[in-house]
Amino acid sequence: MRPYWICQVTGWSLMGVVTAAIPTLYGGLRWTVVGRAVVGAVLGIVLTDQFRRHILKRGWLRLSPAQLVPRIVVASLAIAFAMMLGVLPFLLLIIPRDRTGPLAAIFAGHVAVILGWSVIYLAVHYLRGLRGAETDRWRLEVAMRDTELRALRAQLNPHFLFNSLNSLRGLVTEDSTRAQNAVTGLAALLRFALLSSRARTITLDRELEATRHYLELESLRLESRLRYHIDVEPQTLGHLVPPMLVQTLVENAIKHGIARLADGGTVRIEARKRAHDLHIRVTNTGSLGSLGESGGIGLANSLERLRLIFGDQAQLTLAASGLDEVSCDVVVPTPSAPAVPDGTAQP
Amino acid sequence: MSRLRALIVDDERLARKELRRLLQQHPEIEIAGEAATARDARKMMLDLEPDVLFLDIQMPGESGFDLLTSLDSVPLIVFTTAYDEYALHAFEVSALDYLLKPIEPGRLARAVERLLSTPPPTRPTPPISNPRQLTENHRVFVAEGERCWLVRLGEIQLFESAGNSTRVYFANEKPLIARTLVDLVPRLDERVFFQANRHQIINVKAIRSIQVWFGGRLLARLESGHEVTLSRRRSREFRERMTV
Repeated sequence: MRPYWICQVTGWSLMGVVTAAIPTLYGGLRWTVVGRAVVGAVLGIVLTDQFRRHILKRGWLRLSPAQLVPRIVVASLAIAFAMMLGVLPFLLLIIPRDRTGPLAAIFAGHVAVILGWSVIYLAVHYLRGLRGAETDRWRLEVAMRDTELRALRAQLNPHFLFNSLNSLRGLVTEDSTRAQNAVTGLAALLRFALLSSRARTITLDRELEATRHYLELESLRLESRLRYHIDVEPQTLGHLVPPMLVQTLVENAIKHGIARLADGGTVRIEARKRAHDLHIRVTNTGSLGSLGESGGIGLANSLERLRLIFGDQAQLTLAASGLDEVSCDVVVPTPSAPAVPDGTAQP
Repeated sequence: MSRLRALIVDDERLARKELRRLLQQHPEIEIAGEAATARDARKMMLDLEPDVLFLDIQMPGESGFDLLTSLDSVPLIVFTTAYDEYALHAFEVSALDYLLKPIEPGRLARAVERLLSTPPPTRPTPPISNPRQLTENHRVFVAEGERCWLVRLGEIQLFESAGNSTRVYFANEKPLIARTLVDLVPRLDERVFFQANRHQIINVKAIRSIQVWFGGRLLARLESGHEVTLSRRRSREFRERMTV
């Protein structure tokens, strides 16, 4: 901690020069005055450094002002007293008689100096803490943007996109009405993905709408292999969730579960309200063992986003929920800020 | 012009349908069948003996790569994929032909052209006495790391036992295939592939020179530069064969 030592040595040296200079102006240069200044400065450096160690060791920096102030005052008195004892032989020589008044004044001066030292030391720490907090906030924002970008890239999962386009090409001649609907659905999903990457949270209702488009497009590709049920309590629809949360879970369920099974399987989406929390569960046919690395990343990313927005109460767990069934459970707390209407970004 | 018989392998019905529709523009290709899984494809290949596979990579259960690795010999292959970074990378580094879905008719036309101009007689005919035998014109699919090859057996100079696998040497490459040398011996055409010793099988057509070694054993130098010592018994058999 180099700046600390530079300040410490410069500060106390200046203090020594001043204490030596004032009596010298009045009574000329005397060894007692110089000695007192040198011993005082050295004691100042040593004692305040011990004080600093004590502050750090006892964690005084985390105390509230009401707890901190009396401690600092008592400590300053003690340190000033120790300094007085150190320079007392010189003072006794410098002040021949009527010592009580001058000694009291000098003691008061020492107390003031130590208090001043404490104020400077704590102020520096406080300011540095403020800057640290700002850096943290900044880092969080960067992480957020990063996850948004990654989420966006995951949303426009190229494999899904190109496979859907390929199915659409085949569907055009087979069932043109269905193909037209599918194009509209794909457009809606793409628009949602692009717009939602800017929003921190959206309502579950909108999220489910996008998820339905997604499921319909995957049905085009997987046909009878993909079966799905959406079972959601009406009072959950207004709850806020990060955009693409449910879609990501469903995509994982299809990619690592259904699409790997020749006979396909079922995806079930459930949402319940418990106390103030939203519980979402996405269940799919399949086994945990077939979960690839990218699934891990996708879910880890979802959890990261949840935690950045809702704090540590947000949860996401993936577990086998039956012999041939995997469930992903998510707990989304109610955000502490009042709910913002449909789909708009929160500051 | 002889028609090529094709098998379409894709887990998605609409994707198969779309490819079938696109291939109608190419009467040189006759679609012999469609399979939705690697397992079905393997069964159908036995009956249909297609000349070419249009093969999707990502399928439930076994992937297209898994299917090829499990086959003793592979026909011509055109890979199809929507977007699979791993597979695309493999195709690029291995110079294999592939089509991206949705398939562009122009790209398909070029792929068909290339199929028709592929030089070796497309259906190698094993001797009637041993129908499972692989001729030098049979091709095998070999994958190692991120690379893969469709190798004509005749290009392989040397098979070398490596535990439960076999290392094959061809054109500066030496990947492993997941078969033991013992499994391979009865499958290979003995007129071309000669077992030199317990660990090595050499391609007789790749021998550059033969030298007599101690105790009448032979040392074969291959075009690849490999030197293979024939065991005493195999040296005698080799001489007998050469004098016939």
